[in-house]
Amino acid sequence: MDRIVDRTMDAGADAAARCEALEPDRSFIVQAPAGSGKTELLTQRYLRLLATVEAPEQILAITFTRKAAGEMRDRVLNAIAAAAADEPPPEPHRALTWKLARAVRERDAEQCWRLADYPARLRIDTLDAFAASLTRRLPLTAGLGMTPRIAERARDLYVEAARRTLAALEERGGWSDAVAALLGHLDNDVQQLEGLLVAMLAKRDQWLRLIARGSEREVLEAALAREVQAQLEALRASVPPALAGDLVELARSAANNLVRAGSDSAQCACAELIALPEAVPEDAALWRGLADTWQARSQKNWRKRLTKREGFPTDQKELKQRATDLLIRLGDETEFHARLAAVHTLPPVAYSDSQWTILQALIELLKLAAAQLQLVFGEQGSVDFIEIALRALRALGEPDAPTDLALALDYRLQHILVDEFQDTSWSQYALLERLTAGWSPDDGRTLFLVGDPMQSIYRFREAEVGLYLRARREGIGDVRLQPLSLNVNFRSTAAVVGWINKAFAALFPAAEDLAAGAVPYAAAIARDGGEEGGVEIIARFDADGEDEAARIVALIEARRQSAPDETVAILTRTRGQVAATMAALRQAGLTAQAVELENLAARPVVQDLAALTRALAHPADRVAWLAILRAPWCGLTLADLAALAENDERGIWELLNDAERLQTLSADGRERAERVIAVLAPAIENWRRQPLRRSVEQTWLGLGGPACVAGPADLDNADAFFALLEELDEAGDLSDAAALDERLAELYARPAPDADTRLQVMTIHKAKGLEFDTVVLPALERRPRSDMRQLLLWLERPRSDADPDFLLAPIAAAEEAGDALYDGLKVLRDQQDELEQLRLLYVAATRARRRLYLVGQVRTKAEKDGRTLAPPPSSSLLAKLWPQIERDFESAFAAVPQATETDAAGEPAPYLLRRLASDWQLPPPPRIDWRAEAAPDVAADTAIEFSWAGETARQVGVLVHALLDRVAREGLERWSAARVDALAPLLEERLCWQGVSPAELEPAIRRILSAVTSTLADERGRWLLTAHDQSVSEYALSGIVAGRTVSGVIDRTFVDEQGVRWIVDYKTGGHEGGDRQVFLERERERYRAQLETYARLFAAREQRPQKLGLYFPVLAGWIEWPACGRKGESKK
Amino acid sequence: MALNDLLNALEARATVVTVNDRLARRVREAYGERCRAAGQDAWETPSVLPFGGWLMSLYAARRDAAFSGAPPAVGVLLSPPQAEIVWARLIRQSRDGGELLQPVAAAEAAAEAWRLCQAWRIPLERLAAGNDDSLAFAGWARAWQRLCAQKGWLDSAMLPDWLRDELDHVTLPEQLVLAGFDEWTPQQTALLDAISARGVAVSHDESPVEQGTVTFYKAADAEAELQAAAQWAAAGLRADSRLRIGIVVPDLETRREAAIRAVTAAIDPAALAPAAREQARPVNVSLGAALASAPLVYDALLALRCGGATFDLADVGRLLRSPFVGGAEQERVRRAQLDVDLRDHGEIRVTGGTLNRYAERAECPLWRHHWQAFQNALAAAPRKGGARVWAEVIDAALSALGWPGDRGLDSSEKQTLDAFRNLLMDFARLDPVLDAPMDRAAALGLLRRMAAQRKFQPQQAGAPIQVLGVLEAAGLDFDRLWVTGLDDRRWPARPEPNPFIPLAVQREHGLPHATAERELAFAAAIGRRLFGAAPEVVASWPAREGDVVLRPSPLLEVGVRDSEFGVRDEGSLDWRGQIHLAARLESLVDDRAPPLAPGAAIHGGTGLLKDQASCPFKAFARRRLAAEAPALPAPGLDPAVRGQLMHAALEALWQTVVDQATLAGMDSASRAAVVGRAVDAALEREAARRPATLSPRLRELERARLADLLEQWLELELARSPFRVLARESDAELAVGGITLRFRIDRIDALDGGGQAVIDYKTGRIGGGVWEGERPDEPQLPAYALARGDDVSAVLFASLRRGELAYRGVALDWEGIRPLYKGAETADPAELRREWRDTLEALASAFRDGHVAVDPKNGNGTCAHCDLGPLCRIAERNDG
Ligand code: SF4
Repeated sequence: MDRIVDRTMDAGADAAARCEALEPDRSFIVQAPAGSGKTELLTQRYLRLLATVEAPEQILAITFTRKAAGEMRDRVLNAIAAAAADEPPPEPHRALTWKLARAVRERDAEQCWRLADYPARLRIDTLDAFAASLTRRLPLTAGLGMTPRIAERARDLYVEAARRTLAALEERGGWSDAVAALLGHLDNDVQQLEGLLVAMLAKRDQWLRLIARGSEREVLEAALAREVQAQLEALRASVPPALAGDLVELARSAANNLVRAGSDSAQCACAELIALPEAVPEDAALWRGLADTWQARSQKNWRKRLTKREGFPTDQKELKQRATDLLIRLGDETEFHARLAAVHTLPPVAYSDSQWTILQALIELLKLAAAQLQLVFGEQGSVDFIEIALRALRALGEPDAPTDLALALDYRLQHILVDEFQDTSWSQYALLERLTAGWSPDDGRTLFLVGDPMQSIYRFREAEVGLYLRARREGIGDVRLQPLSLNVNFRSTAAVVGWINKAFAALFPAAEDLAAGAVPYAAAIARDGGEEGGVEIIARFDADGEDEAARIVALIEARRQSAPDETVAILTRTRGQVAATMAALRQAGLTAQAVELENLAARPVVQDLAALTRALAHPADRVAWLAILRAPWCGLTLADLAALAENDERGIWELLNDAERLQTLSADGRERAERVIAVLAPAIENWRRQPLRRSVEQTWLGLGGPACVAGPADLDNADAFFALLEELDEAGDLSDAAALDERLAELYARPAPDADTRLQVMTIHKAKGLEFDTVVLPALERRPRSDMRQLLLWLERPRSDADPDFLLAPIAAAEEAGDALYDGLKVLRDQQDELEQLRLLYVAATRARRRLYLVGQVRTKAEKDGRTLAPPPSSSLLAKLWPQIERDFESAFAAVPQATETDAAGEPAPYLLRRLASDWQLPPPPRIDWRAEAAPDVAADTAIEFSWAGETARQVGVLVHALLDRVAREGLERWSAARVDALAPLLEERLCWQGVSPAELEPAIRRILSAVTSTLADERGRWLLTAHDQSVSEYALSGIVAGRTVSGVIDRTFVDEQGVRWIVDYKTGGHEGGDRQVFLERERERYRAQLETYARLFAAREQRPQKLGLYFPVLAGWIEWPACGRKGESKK
Repeated sequence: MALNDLLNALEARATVVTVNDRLARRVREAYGERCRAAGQDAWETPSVLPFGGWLMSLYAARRDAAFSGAPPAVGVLLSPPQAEIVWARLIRQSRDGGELLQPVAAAEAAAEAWRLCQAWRIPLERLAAGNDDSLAFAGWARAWQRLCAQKGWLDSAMLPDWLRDELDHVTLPEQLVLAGFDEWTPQQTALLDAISARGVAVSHDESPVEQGTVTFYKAADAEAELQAAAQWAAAGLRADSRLRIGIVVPDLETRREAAIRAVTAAIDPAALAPAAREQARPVNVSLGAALASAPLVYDALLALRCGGATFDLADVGRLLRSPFVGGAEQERVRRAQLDVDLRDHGEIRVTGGTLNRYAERAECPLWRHHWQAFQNALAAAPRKGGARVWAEVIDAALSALGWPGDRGLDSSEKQTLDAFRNLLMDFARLDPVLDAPMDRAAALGLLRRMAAQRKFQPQQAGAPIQVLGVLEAAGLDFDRLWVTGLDDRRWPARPEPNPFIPLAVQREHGLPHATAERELAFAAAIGRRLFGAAPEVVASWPAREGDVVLRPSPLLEVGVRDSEFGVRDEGSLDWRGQIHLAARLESLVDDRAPPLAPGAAIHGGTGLLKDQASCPFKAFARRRLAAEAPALPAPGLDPAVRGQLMHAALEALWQTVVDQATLAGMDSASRAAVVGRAVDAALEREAARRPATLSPRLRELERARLADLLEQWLELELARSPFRVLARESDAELAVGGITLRFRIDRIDALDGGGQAVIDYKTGRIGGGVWEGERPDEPQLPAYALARGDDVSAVLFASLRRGELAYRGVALDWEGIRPLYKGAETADPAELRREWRDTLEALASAFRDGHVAVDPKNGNGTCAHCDLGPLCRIAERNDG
């Protein structure tokens, strides 16, 4: 290995690790906590590798978002560009980057990559993008045929698939029973089942692999038993040895007391207990008996008092005393407490028969749903990201027979770097596994995984932190990974880092647990030794949110005073939690930049636009129609609305067009209504002649919509709305108003353009990767939303010597409380969620450079000696932090004067109708003069009448023209009726391919043949086809007539002996019955203008008398007339 | 470029073949302009053809030559859809193609790979060196080759080679000039060589490209980029209205509409108005949209999907609002109302019978007529048939539907109609390549696909501003040109080699887009051409896309790359901005409606009080303005219908059982029988109303559910003190607050112990505190109790929700009854009645007097279940 790596870095304690991470022939997994400078490390390794490969495409760098990919590419390119300088920069870490980039430049020159001209060669992508490119390269191996569109929103596809799945209910065959079983189980609620299926399809990458493995009852039940056993083992190990004897003995005595008293308490199970129960599922009841003896189910602590009900009657003094002593000794045993309490939620180790039936049906149903989804994908030609990942997986082949990627990608993948590895999902992990299949330890190919398991916060997007732990422990496939960890925090001050170290070391679990996703805390070392700033607790008591906003505003104002240039961020878990704070900030004159916070649908401008769209699209959407009359551009009063619409079921648009009805409005109301009617009328009449967006936007402009918005930010919001309309446009229509609402609910209002960028409000997820001088974390007492019910619950339990165990529980029956299996697994999943909440808190706290404010609220309760603090609601972040900050709350509480009850609810603000002034006028649309050339006159040519016979006649005409052209060119003398007739087979083939139906074929051929032969036999026909002076067939002429450019092809033209220019068209139409002459004259009138146009073209080129003629080969008919509008004469 | 040379050649009667259609048109126009400048008002149309069109003309000439005694040409050229059908069939029948997600799309990809093999002279044997994908393709290609040879077919990929062998039988021009080409495939070269070997003077328009002055512009994002370009174009136009101005937009396919909008808004915003016509726009776009997305065609295809016993409600709803269905002009609002009625009805699929019944009620005779005729026409079709047969069926069905409507077609709609008919003709021409008759689904699927692939652009007058894609711009000349989208990911883009041809082979043959080197050279060549296409060029890139930061293309010259210039000139037209600045708004208090006219009819019984309690504005809007948004039906039975079913079953049950004693006297078998009959009666009625939803098995399930629930429920009835059912579904009224409410009480029991119980069946959830305070959530039971007078001794919810079965309420005799709220047991009946009366009085009189406060009881919680937001404008108030 060459030694270009500079070992003198300013990374202090991390220097060695950072240096090792650049070794290009080894694989690593790096734990890089908040603020540890991992992006730079990643960039440096990328550069280092670049200098060793043959082509840049041999390195694949995978980032979590497209934005991150862009940033990393930027860093790499900038580094390479900066290395053009001959002198390295003075800072050691930048000098290292310079050095590495320098080597890349040399390599580039050597290999003629021209990276500077062609940065797209760098493969820095999201995994989704890479998977998509794989499927593009291997469309058949991936089973696709062609890479379909990737739908950013696949919900509609899922709904369609779910609907088809449920439709199987009425089809014969096995599926019907499965659907019926599930429906019966779920109270026959089709809608609910559909929704649950949709939710399942959205995460099918997870369950597909488990149901693919087959599901035998014994296997699944054995897995449950192993899980219960594992938990009981952990419980048994946590029993304090010194207390075991008493625990058992006293519980036995109590149980015997209860048995004697005839109780049916669960404690009675312990009546025969002589030693700790074994860690086997059969002993679960004994453990439960123990638990009930020492713990109350609803409480988070050991029992405080023991009574007769627990088997400790007052007359057995000694027993009771010993038991009370034991409880005191148990006091600190929190782990034992938790594990013992958990015995109540242990899942059963066997399925009941009904559960088993439902599980079987469910698995059937899920398979069917997945298959239906494939059909939907195929029909619609679009798929979701999951499908692309699954297909990419398939394209990569089986683990033992991997696809040769070098053939498909043109380059052998040499190195893979993955950022944010802690947020990898199962399907992504599988993809990595497959990509590295067949790698051997010393072949020079490397993996480099970077992430921070403490910051894994995308569980809701199927991220699985256990995968990070697993990779670190076991490697990926055959690739072993050298663990490295970074500890230096370059971001925060020592004060902040110190607090975080202390708090999170206590909060995070002590031991790593792959299955539960438990990550122990890794302490950080502050790079910035300053003691500036720190962590402050904002304690609130018994208030319901109003004063939170005030407190936050006050502290932000204080920060602004002392340090005006600092950046401040308010980070929230859920968007709803900061609405009041945002309003208070606005009132205080602080315009915070709200990053994707306020729902777009909440903006009045957007609501008005949505109503306008709905009204235009649906004339009977009464709410929308009334709304657009109430909107500021019209502003009808309630009285006028009532006058217009009360007691009349007719559509509002009809009512508006009812002059009498309009008379009942106030004079001002009528004027307003009329102004709006005048704008709406053309929009309604021309509905769907323009794209949807245009129809709505232009109507909005016409109504004066932009004059009605609250501020310039709302013009941007209107744009966001219009952009959505473009997406939803279906042939100029909004086909589904519900889709509009659904989509709007997913969009966020744009920040005000004048917002203060140093004061930001956003979700913690959005803040990932960012940093601020001051961070405020509000509403810590709020509980996170709990998971929705899902059709199938599953957990994966890795096993060292065998395939992992899957724990499966089908959904509990509708409205039936207490399905021990489902609930038992749910508890296990909830524990994972709780761990994720802690990580979220860690991410939030580590955004702070100097100051962190934790804002929380607790209730107080009256006790004998005054009020005391009630513990915060469990599962809230505050509850997690409580042991750390309880003392802060207590001292804060001691300092507050006893709160007086405030009566917050006042009268609602009076309703104010905002509207344009009565005499407001729309500024007229401006215009730059531009000259429109006359439009080609297409309308005239459109055959409104269409018939299949007419279409065949047209084909006949084409061939007759072609043949007459041939005759004229070759000369009449060379053509005979026999020669014409011999063309029949040729004609048949031609007509056949032109879509002429078999029945029409014979007559059509006959018609063509007879047209040509009769022309040949007709004197007029022969005269036309004879060579004359300047005779030409199919003569193409262009020119200017009446100011517009015209072109035409003239069937036949020549100059006769008298010097007359003849301009002749052939018409192959025939006529049935009636007067032939009348027919000919009608035809002349029909084509007169066209031939006159030709005549004028000729007239522009030559001075000659002109005659125009129509020749009818089928009839051997002829009509002629002199050009230039002179009266025509006809002769036979 | 040397347009002049081309025109000179044309004057000398040369044939000019151009790289694309657009350039051909431009050359033709320029020729006309030159003639006019020379004082000619008419001229022989010069022979200018795009390459593909020129080949087609040679092909046609060769075929016609057979009329003149040349040997009949062996080779029928398949149209692209014809070829695609054959490819798809071969793929479907192949071993590798059977289980592809999209076999038809694979056909498109295979045809493209085949074209490359032909154009670049790649022998199929070379594919053996590749991976499974190329091997599979090699198999298909061989099958295709065999089939073509056997049938005498050829496709456009083979055409140049075929023509080369047939040159003896066509007349060639004396001089051939090729214009606008950046590169030639070996296949094309071979053809041209053969032509020049026949004495044709073949020349290339290869005049050197002169770089114009190039300015660079950095736009915030793609949207802003287009706007800047549009304003720049407007400024140019204002300076000189005869300038030829072009804007190049690389991803024009998706940005088409945005470009039209931006440019038109900058020049003549009125031309975007709903009533404005296509022709009146100052901008021309080189690319058409898919014919399938043209409204006229879209609705036709949509309608054709609706044949059979039941229809998708959403599809029917769209057709009801379609201007392209016969009679839409006269019945517009009524049809929309019909859609609303159907949605209220609540089935996501409806039968023809249901549709017809509702249509009759909604007074839409024209709809009924057309719909019936349309269905008849579809039903008359054979089960299977050829393309021509289906084409006629489709045509006839659409005419029966009254399509394309009676609004009168504007010019672009007329052209769309023509294009659709041509498409239908092309469809009819598929017969010679079909191997079996198709059923309707297959035929429609094919037609839809063809419509989606066909690009359509209505003809339009020459406009001063041209918007073009990169390839369409090849060879054109402008006075000013703006090139957008020059960021470093797109220009040069990553190579996208064809997946079916081994990369090594592609590299060796130098296929386009195959390798990085090739792509780089390609981008550079295009760049040279674009920057030479006008004396003044602006090159721009968007600085970001979403949250991704973009960099300028490295192919833009360094140095100037970072230069910027301002485009927003003073006089730029921003109509929207002008309107915004012209705002003059007023605010007034408006929370009173006129009081209710005495004796005015009130709809909805106690629901009115419920609304009034929940939010006064809601009561006003719903009850007086009848403000309802169209419902959104969901699959299965919605909660309201299930509630009705339960009501009906209970009503039927108590009709026979009469009192508790009778019930108690029944053994379990007869009880089950009574329950079964009651449930059947309820379901019978509902199934007649909702035939599409209550399908046999669902009905069975629902029957089991209801019977099970009822049997459980009867246990609760038995646990109460004895009673006799006095009335079921009984009409009652209550005068309160100056208005009279009419309603129907679910059930009244006479209690053996004295007094009556009024009972409300409830299948939804019952919250706590539903009767408390001045704004009770569920005021109906108090209203019933008051209406029944003093004899009432129990007021009960019958909670019929699975898992929550119970009688809950207030009562004197609590046997079998749970208190509805804390303290209910001790409530004083007289006091309670007084409270209730006061509460209801207050609510009713507020409603009567027109107090219309926007005051949701529980703030956002209340509004979350209310769809009147846009009307009451609560958001505006929240906005402050
Ligand atoms: S949205 Fe809210 S405020 Fe408006 S009417 Fe409904 S409940 Fe009342």
